[in-house]
Amino acid sequence: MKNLPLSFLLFWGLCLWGSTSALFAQISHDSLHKYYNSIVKPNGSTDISKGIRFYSQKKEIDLKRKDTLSTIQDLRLIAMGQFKIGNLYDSENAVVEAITLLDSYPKNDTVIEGRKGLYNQLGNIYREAKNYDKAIETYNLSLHLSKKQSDSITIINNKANIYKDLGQYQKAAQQLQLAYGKIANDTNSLQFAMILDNLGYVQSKLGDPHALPNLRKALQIRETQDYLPGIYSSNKSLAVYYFDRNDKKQALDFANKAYEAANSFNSITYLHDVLSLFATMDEDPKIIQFKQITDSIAKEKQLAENKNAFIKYNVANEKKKTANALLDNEKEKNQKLIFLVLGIIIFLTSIYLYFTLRIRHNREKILQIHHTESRISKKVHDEVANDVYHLMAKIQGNTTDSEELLDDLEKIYNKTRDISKENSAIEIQEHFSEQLNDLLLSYQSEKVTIATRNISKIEWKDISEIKKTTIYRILQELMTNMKKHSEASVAVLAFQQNNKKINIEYTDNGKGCCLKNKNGLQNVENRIQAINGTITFDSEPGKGFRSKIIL
Amino acid sequence: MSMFKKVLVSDDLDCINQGVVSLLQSLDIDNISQVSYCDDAFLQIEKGILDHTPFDLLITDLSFKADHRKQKYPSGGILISALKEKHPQLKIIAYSVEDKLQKVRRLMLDHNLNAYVCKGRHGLNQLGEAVQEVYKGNNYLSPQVQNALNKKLSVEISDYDIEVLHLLATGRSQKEISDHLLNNNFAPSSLSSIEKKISKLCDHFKATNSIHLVAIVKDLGLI
Repeated sequence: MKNLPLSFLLFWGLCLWGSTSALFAQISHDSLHKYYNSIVKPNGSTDISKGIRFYSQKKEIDLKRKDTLSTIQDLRLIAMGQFKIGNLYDSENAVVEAITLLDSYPKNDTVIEGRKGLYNQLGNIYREAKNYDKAIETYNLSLHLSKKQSDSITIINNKANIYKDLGQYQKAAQQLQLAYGKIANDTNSLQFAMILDNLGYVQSKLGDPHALPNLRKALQIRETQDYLPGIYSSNKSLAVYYFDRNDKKQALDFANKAYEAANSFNSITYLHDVLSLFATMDEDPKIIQFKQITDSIAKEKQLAENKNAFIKYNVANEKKKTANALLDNEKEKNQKLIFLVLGIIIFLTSIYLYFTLRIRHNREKILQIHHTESRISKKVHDEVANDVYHLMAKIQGNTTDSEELLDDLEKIYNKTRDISKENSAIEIQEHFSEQLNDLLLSYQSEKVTIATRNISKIEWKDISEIKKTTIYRILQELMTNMKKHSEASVAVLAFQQNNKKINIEYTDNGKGCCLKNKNGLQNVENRIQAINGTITFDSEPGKGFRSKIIL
Repeated sequence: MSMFKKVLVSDDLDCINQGVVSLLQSLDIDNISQVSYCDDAFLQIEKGILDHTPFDLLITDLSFKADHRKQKYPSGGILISALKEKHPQLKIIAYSVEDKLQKVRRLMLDHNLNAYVCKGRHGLNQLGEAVQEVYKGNNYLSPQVQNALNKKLSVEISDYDIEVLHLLATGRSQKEISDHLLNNNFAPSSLSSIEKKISKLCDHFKATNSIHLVAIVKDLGLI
């Protein structure tokens, strides 16, 4: 109950936090639209810089929120704005930052789309920075990721522009023909007009007769759609077309139309562009010289400014790789450490287990030895010492003759022999069935026949040594027992093999016994249990003795 | 009565040696040597041959207690095999408490031992018989180990025996059993062999006649 106020507070805190963030999101959404337009379709001269400032702030917030996709979108708009106001270096920085972020983002369609746009933007930047090889390279990267036809047409057009800038009109024409072929079904779109205009321009430079119809068709489409930047481009292209063919009147005519268009959407870049066209077409050599000098200075400046953010990106990439490698290294080290620790633990555990088991095993062995020793000692005491004592008593009484004494001594002698035999080591030999036969034979006499069934059919070589030893001992003890107590005239041992299991059935026709006093066979039971076998006895006084052994 | 002239007795228990020596003396053998180690026995026999007064007979125990003296021949078994290989003409009698049939068989068959006598109540008497038999050129085995060389004594009841007993238990006459076996491709099926088989089974199972035999094997659960 003590925790209640605290958790209550926490709950309210969470609600408050949630509502404020929702509020913020609402405000953001409204301004988002406004600032997006200020960059994509700028109206005033300050629109773009306002948009850039907004997205720079938003980027920081998105970064903190770890909203990678939003951050990338912000960077893309920043890059677009910076490009538009001519800050190529900053634009490139923004694109490179965005690409870096994308690298760390899991790959999916959105990411690929973003990457394609970023590469295209980067290509535009390089084109503007007159780093043409790099521009082509990045356009190709973008093209590689393009799935939509309209996208790839834009990029192909951009590539063509590069060749155009380089004066490689043949290559430019090839690219534009490629784009033209792709677009053939949508002949009224602005995109088609763009391709047509560019193609016409290039064809004009190559002296291709298709140039003029293409340029005119492009202008027509653009005028129908009332697309001012397009109208501007078409007019400029036509101006250049006529200028190249020394038709000054027509050239100036189109140049003036371009100037009109540039003025109407109030773009300094366009105005600068069209005015330098006028400069190019001027008849005064000084103005032409001024134009050439201005151009070459601008070019020099641009080249000098090529502090290449792309190279910086590569450096950053290298750094990242190194950092990753270090991280991997660290991970590997950690893994090795874990394996080492595991290995040590397993090693120590196995040593511990080994010794514990060994100690336990030794203890069991010692117990076994003690057990055997006490069993033998009991036997010596019960069977030998008692008899010797009786004999001594007899001799003291002087009632016996030497023949009788000798008989008694022989009995004692035989008993010791039996004890010795029962406990001596047995060597299991190659022909185990013969060895068993010998054992049984040694109990066979005039009085008793020991018959066997299937003893020679057992595959003794498949039976373990310890099992054979146990079988030998058990039969020995059964036989001793039979000879001592049963007064049987026939004993039968029937053998049977089930895979690795041996069944032995013992039957005799002796006087039987009361199973409660089976002390003599306790040892047999112990032996069989030791190797997980089973033994059952069945006997009644006067009805023989049966035993079934499975091991 | 002629007898062995020169006999070597090898046993690590002097009292037994004494018993053996007095037995040999009672057999009119005068030249008796005694040793307590197998190595000594071997040397004595070698010496006798070198001196041109070879021993005629060796009576040796099989198990000798190991003591401080390191022995080349630690047991009678090893001594026997070495001597029999080197001097096949030398007669040897093993005199031991050991009565494992396999051991006896191995010594007799693999090493041409001449006699095997078990120590015991009647051991000395049997040893006397053994000496005389060996002198005559025969082998001798104490009754306890006589089975060692007699494999046929083991009684293995075959499937054929069981079949005959089954037929007998159904009340068939020997003739009928013979016919039945013949019809069922059991061999041998002749009347005489069946007669023999039944009589042998009666012998094994200590039965006085076939009715008794069937009763016994039924009791034993064989059929």
